[in-house]
Amino acid sequence: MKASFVNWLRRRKSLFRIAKRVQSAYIFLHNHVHADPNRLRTRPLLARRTRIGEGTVVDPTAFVSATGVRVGRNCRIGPSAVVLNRSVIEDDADIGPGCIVGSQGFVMERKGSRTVAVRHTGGVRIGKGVKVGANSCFDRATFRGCTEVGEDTSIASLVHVAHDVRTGARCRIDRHAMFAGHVTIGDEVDIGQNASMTHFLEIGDKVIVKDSAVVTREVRDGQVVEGNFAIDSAKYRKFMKSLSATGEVRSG
Amino acid sequence: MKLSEVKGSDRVERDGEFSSIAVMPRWRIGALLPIIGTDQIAMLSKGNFRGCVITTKDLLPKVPVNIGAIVSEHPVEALYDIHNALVKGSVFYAPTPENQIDGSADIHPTAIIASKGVRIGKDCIIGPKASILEGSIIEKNVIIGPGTVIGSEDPLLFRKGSGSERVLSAGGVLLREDVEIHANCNISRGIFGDSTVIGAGVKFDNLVCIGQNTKIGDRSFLAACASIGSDVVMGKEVWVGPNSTVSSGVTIGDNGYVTIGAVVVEDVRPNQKVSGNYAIDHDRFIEFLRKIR
Repeated sequence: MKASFVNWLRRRKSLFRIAKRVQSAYIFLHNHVHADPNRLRTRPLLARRTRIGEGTVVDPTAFVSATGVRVGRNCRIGPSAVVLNRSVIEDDADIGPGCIVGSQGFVMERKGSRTVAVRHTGGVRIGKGVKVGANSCFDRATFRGCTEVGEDTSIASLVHVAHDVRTGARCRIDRHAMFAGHVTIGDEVDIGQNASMTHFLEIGDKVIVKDSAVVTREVRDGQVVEGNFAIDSAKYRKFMKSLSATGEVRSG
Repeated sequence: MKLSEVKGSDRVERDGEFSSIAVMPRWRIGALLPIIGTDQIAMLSKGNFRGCVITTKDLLPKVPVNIGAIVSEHPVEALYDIHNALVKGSVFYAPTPENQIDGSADIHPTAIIASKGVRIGKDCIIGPKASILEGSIIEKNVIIGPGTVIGSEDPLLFRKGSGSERVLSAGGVLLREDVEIHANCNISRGIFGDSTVIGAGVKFDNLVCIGQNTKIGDRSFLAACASIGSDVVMGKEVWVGPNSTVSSGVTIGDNGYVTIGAVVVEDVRPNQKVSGNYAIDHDRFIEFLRKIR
């Protein structure tokens, strides 16, 4: 779903309420169908035995689910990493120590005093040559399809990639950055340390998100953003200069 | 326990009795507290405090006479020293009980459960590579994701002589029913005998970090990478946004809303929405942002 469409819907309150109802009903049905583990097991993707390609090294302390995982050739899965079912790891990928691939996403529905957690049934696809540092997490997609990490992307440690995120190719994602659900980012995007991306966000190609930025609005191709909430870098710098005693701001 | 029975105290000025240990400003009746300022004494007299304090020589005359007192040059360090001595003994803090693990709990073979002091209730699911450490009490229907650590010790250090020493943890973690915790989270156990409490129906996303002795109200949601300090008190149905930080000792009221990336250093009122670094009221923040956008 496009972010602009969601915002349009939100502005029309009654329509939004109806959409919420439809969503609730869908989630209820979804959970109902997927609550039965036997039924889940009959699904073809899950039933398939895990296949690990030639030359791949899986650390003995790592845990890879016995079904529904496909790991390509010449990959490396580090110590204490966990790869759960419905995960696809392409050739030459490197999953660091303590990484979790295929954990549940965070979509919660409040129903009176009860909270219904949506059982996520999609998968995770980690592209060719992706390098991941330690303790990063990749959530599975909510209903179908995959959370996708594009090829040759480097992801540092403690990065959170939420459900239904899609990253382009050759991105660089620095330490402790996080994506909320359904974020789409283009190719060759550079994301700084501890940056946060809000849900349903769209980021274009060759964007730079500076350290600790909190991005809440769409970012165009080639734009540089920073700040909490993130604004255009030039404007942010101008504002910071107005605060600084010397009138100078170090470039970050 | 009586002050005079405590080992490692510098000098008991007035004997008194205490039943727990605490640090300011989270004091309570019957506690042993370190006091380093006159404002803290005023706070105690106002709240009708009974118990014991560790304080400096200068402040001693200002402490009410019905309060037991130890004099020390460094009250906070002295308190931690006493606490560590009490943890090593088995009189003040109750000894660690045996494990009680319900047969219906689904514990992954690669999960690590401590050899004692763990209680796991009915129908819990514990994921691969999760660690449940000493002092963790998990009620029924709790789901713990892969790689999550429950009951780790907060690395609180204090100065002793020329080096430094770690404050030992004596408390635990209490996860109430229907709590769901996703991957790679960390929940620290309480230090001074109290538990870190996660209320019923609370849901955590990945990489959430909770400090010692924090209390989280029922049905709250904590989104990914949220970092909560120690001694935080959160009301019911609070939303803590992704990558937000809540400083130690902050109180968040019922239905509070902390947006993405906020750094909360002040109390949040019930139903209030806060944003920014440092977090202020959301509407005011957006108004300001419009000026520079």
